[in-house]
Amino acid sequence: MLSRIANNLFWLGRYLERVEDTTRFVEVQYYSALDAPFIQKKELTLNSILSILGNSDYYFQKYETLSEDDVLYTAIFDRDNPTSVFYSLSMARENARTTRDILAEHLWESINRFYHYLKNYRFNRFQKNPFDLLDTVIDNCFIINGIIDRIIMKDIGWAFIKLGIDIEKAAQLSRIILAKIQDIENMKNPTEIAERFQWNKLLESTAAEDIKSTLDPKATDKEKVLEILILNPKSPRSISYNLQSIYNLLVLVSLDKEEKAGSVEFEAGKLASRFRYTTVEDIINVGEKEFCLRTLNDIYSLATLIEKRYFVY
Amino acid sequence: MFNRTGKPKKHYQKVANFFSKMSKDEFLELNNHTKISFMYQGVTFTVYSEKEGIERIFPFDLFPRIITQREWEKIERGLVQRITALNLFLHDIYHDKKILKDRVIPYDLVLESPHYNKEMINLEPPGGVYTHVSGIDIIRHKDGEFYVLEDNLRSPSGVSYVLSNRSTMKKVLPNIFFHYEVSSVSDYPQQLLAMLKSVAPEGVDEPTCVVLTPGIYNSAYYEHTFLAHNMGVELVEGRDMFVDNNFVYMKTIYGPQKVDVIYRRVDDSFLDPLVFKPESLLGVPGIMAAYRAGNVTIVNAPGTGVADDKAIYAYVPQMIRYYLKEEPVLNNVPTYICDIEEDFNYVMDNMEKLVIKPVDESGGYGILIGAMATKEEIETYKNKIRRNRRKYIAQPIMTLSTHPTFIEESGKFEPRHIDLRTFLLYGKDFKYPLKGGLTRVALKKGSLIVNSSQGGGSKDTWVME
Repeated sequence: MLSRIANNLFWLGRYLERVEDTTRFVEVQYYSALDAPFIQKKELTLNSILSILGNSDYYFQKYETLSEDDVLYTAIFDRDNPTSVFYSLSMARENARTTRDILAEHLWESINRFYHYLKNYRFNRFQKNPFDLLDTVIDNCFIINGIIDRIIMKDIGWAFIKLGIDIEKAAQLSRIILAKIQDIENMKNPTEIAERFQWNKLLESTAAEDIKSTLDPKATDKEKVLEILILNPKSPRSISYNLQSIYNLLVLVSLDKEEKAGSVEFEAGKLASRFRYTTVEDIINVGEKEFCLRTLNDIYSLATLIEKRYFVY
Repeated sequence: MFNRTGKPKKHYQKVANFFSKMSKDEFLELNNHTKISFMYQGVTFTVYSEKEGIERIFPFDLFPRIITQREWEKIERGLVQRITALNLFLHDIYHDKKILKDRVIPYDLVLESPHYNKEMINLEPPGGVYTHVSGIDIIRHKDGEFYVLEDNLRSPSGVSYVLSNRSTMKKVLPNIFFHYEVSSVSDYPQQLLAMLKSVAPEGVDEPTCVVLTPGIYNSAYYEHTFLAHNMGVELVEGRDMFVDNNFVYMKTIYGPQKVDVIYRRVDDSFLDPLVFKPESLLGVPGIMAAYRAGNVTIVNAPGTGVADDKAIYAYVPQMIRYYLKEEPVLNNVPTYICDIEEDFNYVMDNMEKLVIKPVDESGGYGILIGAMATKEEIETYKNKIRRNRRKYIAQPIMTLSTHPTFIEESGKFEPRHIDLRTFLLYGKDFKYPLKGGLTRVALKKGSLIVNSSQGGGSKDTWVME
């Protein structure tokens, strides 16, 4: 496989995952704000959305105040905002277009159709009923992930798409947890109810609330949430699970029969193992914020290693 | 499609019946469905304007064009004959130049053509083939005969539309196929791959073939992905390859991999910045040296453009007689070469009866149709010819046959002019004419220009078994 193509498949995966994660975060934040058990909920929510987009500067260069319409527009529709849902989807499609010759037609068509849907969606229609669009976006992500899981060959091409998805998922999980920690800090002495509300919303915005209730139907607390989103090896919505998957994919891609120290799969294995043998206490001891920042850094370093090994000449 | 009494010809009756039973709304719904299907498949070309590229589908007409077996048999024979002669011609002009020495074709016309590629002199292309993929355009004149309108021998496009038109047609109107024995076109990509393998460099048993594209912004990018995908080979850009020690390699995730046959969709002048345009980023530095060393095959060979020059076109019947000692199966449109004094004078006196074309442009650009031009336009054009006589030829106005075509503005079937782009694969001991081709239709009323860049559309083309 051409290095350029492998690189594009990897980014196809990353952008696709970004579409889903950003949309889900916006949706959960937006609806949770409607009945949140604390004051200033609108401002907190909008700030939270901006922080997950990661470019508040961009927003405040264009707008003077925080407004619901402007934040949602920036997060979903804004073609010039490199972290908007539409932008990510366009990039996913561009990467699909440059790899079309090797993509399964189902996959290309579902991405292309999705792109045209969002491109033609009018903002004023969205304002009347945001749920319709947000839900359809997430449905489309499910369809595309379904095709990736169940239709296409589990070969090298698939492995690079999947690597992109899993790297992005692990990174986005770290970022979302960080954003929530920040939200709670911003509330300044929140009540127990308010804090629990935030942790619950965090689970929802990673689609992990059902995983939580099957594990422990009792009240949510910080320890539980960190366990589910960072350490649980069985939950596809945990960092640990995704790191293990990244390791498996890199072994699949590698031509070496045995792992060599310093190889990219070796480094991925080391990182995944570290998470398997970490406890919630370890995280709290380091400080959850510090821990997530380090994790994010490790994931990005791993992505750079993959790039150097397979994409760069 | 109609006979002299205005009734549909025998082989069209079932299709005509089929559409006449359909209500206008039913038809419009199908038509709409078809358009969406092309859009979702991404069978589009991009028109660049202002800020962003706008994706357009290539207009597709649901009314198929039918070619009988008898008609097709003659076309096919004519195509093979023509391409065989053109290949012998190309070999000749890059080696012994016999046809020029025997004064069958003027020296200057060939050797001074901008497409005469000096890099090709005395070079022996693998398998002896120059024009592996050709797209010869054919029309039917009002005398009922087929004529060759032009030979496209560089990198003709359109074949992906033939295949996607057919697959869309089958989805939209499955029933109609049960009434006809339509020749299949789906084998083309595998035949193309077999042809590419047939011309691999000597000694290579399992050749690695690739499609070379200028990239995503090329208007035929869809076709490049389509062909690579359906052949199961890599679609590469220039930057994906490099030359080492006169061998060509592509950059894969596991390191360099040798490339043996390149089906390139990049123009000659962009192929190798060391030999041609130095600023080109689309090609591969050193690829011509690798080609000259016989380590890689370039399909089509560089330098074939000299043979599809519209002035050389006029001499193809002579080539056929000269090399094959046969009479041409397909007619040529009579052509006046402005570089020849007698022809030039005739053209100057009879502009209004003629179509005047630049010899080296494609896409229907730069053409003057005398009968439709104003006096001023004719005068301006005459001056252009006087300044550069080598650049122009003229032909009598051929009335392309018409075919019923659905016109959205009127909501009715109306007659529109059509032509046929054929596709022929030609390798080492290998010939494959695609049964059918791309029927292009001039959607503008009265227009004779069918090119997609100028308001043309297409139809599914059925050759009867």
